[in-house]
Amino acid sequence: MNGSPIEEFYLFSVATPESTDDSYIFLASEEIGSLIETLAVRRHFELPSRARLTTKSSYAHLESDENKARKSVMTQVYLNVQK
Amino acid sequence: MCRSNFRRDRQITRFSLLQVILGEVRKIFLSLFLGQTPSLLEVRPPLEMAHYVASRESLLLERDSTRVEALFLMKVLAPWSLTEGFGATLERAYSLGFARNLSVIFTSNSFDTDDEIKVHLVEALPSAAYVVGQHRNNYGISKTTEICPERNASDLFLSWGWGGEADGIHAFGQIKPALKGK
Repeated sequence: MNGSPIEEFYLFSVATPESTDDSYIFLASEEIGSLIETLAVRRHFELPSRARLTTKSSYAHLESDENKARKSVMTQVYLNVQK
Repeated sequence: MCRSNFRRDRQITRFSLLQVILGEVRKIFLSLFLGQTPSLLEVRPPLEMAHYVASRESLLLERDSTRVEALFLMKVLAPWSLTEGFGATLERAYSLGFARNLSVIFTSNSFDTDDEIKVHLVEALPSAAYVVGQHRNNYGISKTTEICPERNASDLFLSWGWGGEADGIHAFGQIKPALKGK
């Protein structure tokens, strides 16, 4: 009413895609669909809002010791052959 | 360290042949013909990624343009392995046996989702030649004909699906074995 802009934020918090495959999956996800929809509505109706996006992911591929040991032998054989 | 450098200096792979639609036997013969040991990189094991935390933050203001909004979305969708994690992905590729100091990188379709091949290719350019050989870029959907990043990005585009020489497309003829009818 007093002419000052309405300070309203749409907050988006999503996971960072790790690989290109993850990005494709992410692109087809509901999260991205609703994000695009929100941005389109915001633009169409010229809503005086801001959007803040945060992505955060933590990848710590933890494996069982047995699996890790087996893979390390196989991986080592592979790497030696390859090099 | 010295041993590692010694091995690197002696590396004989100058032609990186990745996801070549020739069949494995032909690919092995091609590698031998080029004077290098055949690559096994299509069936590489998944190496563990180093632990990391990826955080991104961006703000979209009230009157930002469509371009800024598009960049905002691209920032959400960009894969970590090709952006913040480029160095880690490249190191993983080298540790898996991807060669350095290449002359030619040839692929049919690895430019799509194989991040290790992509970073290895980017790192090798521009001193290496990037060659793509494939039927054509239709991918079963004719609407994608106009969108052909592999054709635009490659130094040489070999096709056995297009006829005639046009717009940087080099009709190469059929190199895959013909299908035998029953």
